[in-house]
Amino acid sequence: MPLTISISIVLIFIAVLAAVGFVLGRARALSVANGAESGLHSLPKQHGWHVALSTAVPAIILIALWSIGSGIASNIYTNSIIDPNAPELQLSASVTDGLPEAEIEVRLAAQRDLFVASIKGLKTAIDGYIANGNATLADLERWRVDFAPLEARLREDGQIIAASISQNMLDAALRLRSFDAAVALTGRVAAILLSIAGFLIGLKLITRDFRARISVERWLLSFLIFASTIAVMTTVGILSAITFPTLAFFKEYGLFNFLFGMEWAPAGDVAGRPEGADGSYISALGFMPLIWGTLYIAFVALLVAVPLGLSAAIYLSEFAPSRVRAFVKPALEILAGIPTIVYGIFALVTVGPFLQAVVGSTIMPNTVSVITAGVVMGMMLVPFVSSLSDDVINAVPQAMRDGSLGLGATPAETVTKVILPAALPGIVGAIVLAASRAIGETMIVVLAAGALSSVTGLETNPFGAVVTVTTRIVAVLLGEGSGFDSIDVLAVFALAFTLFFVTLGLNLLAQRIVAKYREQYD
Amino acid sequence: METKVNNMQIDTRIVGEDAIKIAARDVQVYYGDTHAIKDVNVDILDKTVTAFIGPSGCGKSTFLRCLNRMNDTISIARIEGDIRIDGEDIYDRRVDPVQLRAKVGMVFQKPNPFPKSIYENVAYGPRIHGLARTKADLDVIVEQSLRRAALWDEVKDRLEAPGTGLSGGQQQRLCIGRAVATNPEILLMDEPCSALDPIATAQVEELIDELRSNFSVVIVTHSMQQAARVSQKTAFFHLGHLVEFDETSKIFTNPEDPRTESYITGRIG
Repeated sequence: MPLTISISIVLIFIAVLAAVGFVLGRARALSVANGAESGLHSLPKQHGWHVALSTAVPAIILIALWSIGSGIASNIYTNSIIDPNAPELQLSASVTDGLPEAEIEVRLAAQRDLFVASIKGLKTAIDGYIANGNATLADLERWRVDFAPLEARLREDGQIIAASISQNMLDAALRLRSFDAAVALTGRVAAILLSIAGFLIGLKLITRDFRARISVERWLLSFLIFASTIAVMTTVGILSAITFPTLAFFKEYGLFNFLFGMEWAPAGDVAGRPEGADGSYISALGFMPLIWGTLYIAFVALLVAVPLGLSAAIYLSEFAPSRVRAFVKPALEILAGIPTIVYGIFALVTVGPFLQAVVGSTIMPNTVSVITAGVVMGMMLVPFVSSLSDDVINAVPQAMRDGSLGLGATPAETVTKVILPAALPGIVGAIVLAASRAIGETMIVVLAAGALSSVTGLETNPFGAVVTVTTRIVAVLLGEGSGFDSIDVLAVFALAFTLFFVTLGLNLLAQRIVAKYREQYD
Repeated sequence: METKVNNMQIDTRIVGEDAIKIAARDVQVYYGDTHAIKDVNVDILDKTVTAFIGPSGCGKSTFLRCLNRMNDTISIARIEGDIRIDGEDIYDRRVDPVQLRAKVGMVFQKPNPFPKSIYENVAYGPRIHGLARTKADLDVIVEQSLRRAALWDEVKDRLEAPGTGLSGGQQQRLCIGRAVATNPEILLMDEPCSALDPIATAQVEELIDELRSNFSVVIVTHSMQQAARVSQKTAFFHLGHLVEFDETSKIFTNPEDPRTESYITGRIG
C-alpha cells in the first residue's frame, strides 16, 4: 500500500476548505453585490455559510456512511475469502460423535463465527503493531513464511490476540488488511473530492438573487431534526433490543409463571452453572419477590423523601428570607449531584450498622435491609422532590396568597388551605416522578438492600434483606455461572422490559397529572 | 345615570359628616431606597365610598395596602407615620395583622377566587376565623354574603361548582362576597373593575353603592368616571403626595390644586 491518508488529515482538509469557502463565499457575494449590499437576496455572511456548509456537510455524511458500510463490507469479504475446507472450520470426530445433525450445524456455524472473529482480531493486532512503529510493510511479507515468532512479538507489544495464529488465519488477516485499507482509501478520496465539488458548486451558485439564507436555514433545520430524532431512535432501539429476548423468554418460561412466580433462584447464581449443563438444576424465575422488594424499598424511600422534601419546599418558597433561600436551595441541589454509588457506600458502612446497633441483630440479622436502602434512597430523593415541588408552589399565583392573607388567614393557613390544594396535582406529579426514580435506582440497592442469590416469597420485615429487580439484573449479568445464552440471561431481559414499562407508566401518569395542573389557573 | 349619581353624592355628604373610620397622619412608605408615599394625611369616613385616583405609580395602591398591612408581606417595604382605625393604631406592636385583615377586607385588581368550589370560597374566611359553629350557620353566612355580593341568584344552584369556572364579573363579585363574609368594617378595593367588561363593571359599581350602607369602602381606580360614579369622597395622589382630598363633586367640578385640574381634564397622567 503505497498511499495512505489518515482520517484526521481528511477531516482537517475539509474543515480548512470549509473555512476558506466561508471567506471566499462572503467575498464573492460582496463583489457580486458590487457595493450595493442591499441588492443581494441574502447577507454576504449567509452566502459564506452556504459555501462552508455545502463543502463540509455532504463530505462528512459520506465519511460517516462509509465507515458503517466498510464495516459491513469487511465482514462479507472475510467470510468470502475463507477456504471452506480450512481445518479451522472443522469439528473433530470426537466432538461430533453422537450429536444430532441440527446440533452439529449450530456448532459449525459457531466455529466459523469464532474463526472470522479471530481473523479480524489478528488484523487489528497487526495494524496496531505497525502503527506503533515495530514493523514495516516489508516485514509483513517475511511473516507469511515464518509466522511462529509473530504471536509472541504481538503480545509483547501489548496487542490482544485471542486464538493461536495459523497460516490460514494470517493469510486471511493480511488479505483483509489490504482490502480494508483500499476501502478506507477510496472513501477518504471520495470525501475529499466531494468536499471540493461542494466548495466549487457553492461558490458558483452565488448570484445577486441566490437564496443562501433559506438554504442555510434548511441545513440548520435538518441538523435540529436529526438531533431530536437520535433521542427518539435510541429509545426505540433500546426497546427493540430488549423486546425480542423478552418474548423468547416468555415463550420458553411462560408469561404467567414469570409474572406470578413466587421464587427467584436462577441456576447461574444458585448452582454456579447454567441450567441444564448437567441436567441437575432448573432455574426458578418468578418476578413477584423482586418487584415486591423494589416497591417495598421505593415505598420506604418515599416515606422519607416526601415529607422532608415537601416541607423543605414549603419553607423555601413561602417562609424563607431571600438570604436563607439563596444559601439553602443550592445546598439542597448539591445533594442531588452526589453520585448514587456514594449514597450506596454511606448506606452500607454507616446507616446499616447504625440501624443494626439500634434495633438489635435479632430483628435485623444483616446490616443490609429494606430500611437501610429505603432511608438512604429517601435522602437521595429529598432534593428531587423539594426542587420539583418548589417550582410547583412558586407557580401558584401571588394573587392566591394575597387573597388568603387579605381575608385574615395566617401564612400557615394560607399554605395548608390554599397553596397546597392548588399545587397538589403538581406535587403528586413530583412524587410519581420520584417513585419512578426510586424503582429504577440501582447502586444503592445493590450495596444496601441485600444480595441473596435466591429468594422465595415476600419478605415483610422492614429490617430484613430483600432483592430488587435492578440488583438481580446486575447479579445475573455479572454472575460467573450464567452462560450468555442461558435462560437466566433471557429472564434479565424480561426484568428490564417489565421495569421499563413500570417506570414508563409512572412517567406517563406524572405527565398527565402535571398537564392537568397546568390548566388550573387559566 | 349621571344625575342619579349626583343626587347620591349630595345625600352622602350629610351621612358621613362626623364618623371618621380611618385616620392617617404623616404616612411615609419606602420600598428599599424609593420613597413611595410622602406625608399622607387623610381621614376616611364610615359608610362612605372613598376613591383614590391618580396616574400610574402615584402610590395610591401602596397607600391602600397600608390600611390592612398587606405591605407587611413585602420584605423591603417600610412604613412610618400613624394610621388609626377607630382610634386604634394599626401599626402598634400589639395589633395582630391577621385580626386586622379580618376587619379590613380586600378585593384585588384581578379576580382571584381560590381553586375551590363557590361555597368553599365564601366559607373560607368564616372558617378560619371560627365565625360559624355549625354547618347551618355557615350556610347562612354564605348565603348572606353572596346576596350582599349580588351573586346569590346566579349561583345558588351550583354552589359546589368551581369558583374559577365563573365569568370574570361573577368571579369579582364572588371575591367581594368572600371579603364580606368575614364581617369586615372596611372594604379595600384595588382597581376592582380593571379586568372586567363594561357590563360587569356596571354590576360591580352598583354593588359598591349598596355596600356603602354597611361598610366604609375605599376604592382605587384608574377611571375618573368610575370615581365620579361611585364615590362620595375622592383623594388625588400624584408622585407619592396626596395632592387633594375632598368631596367628589368638588374635586371634579372645582378642584383647588392645579395638578388635580390638569389630571381630571386629561393634561397629565
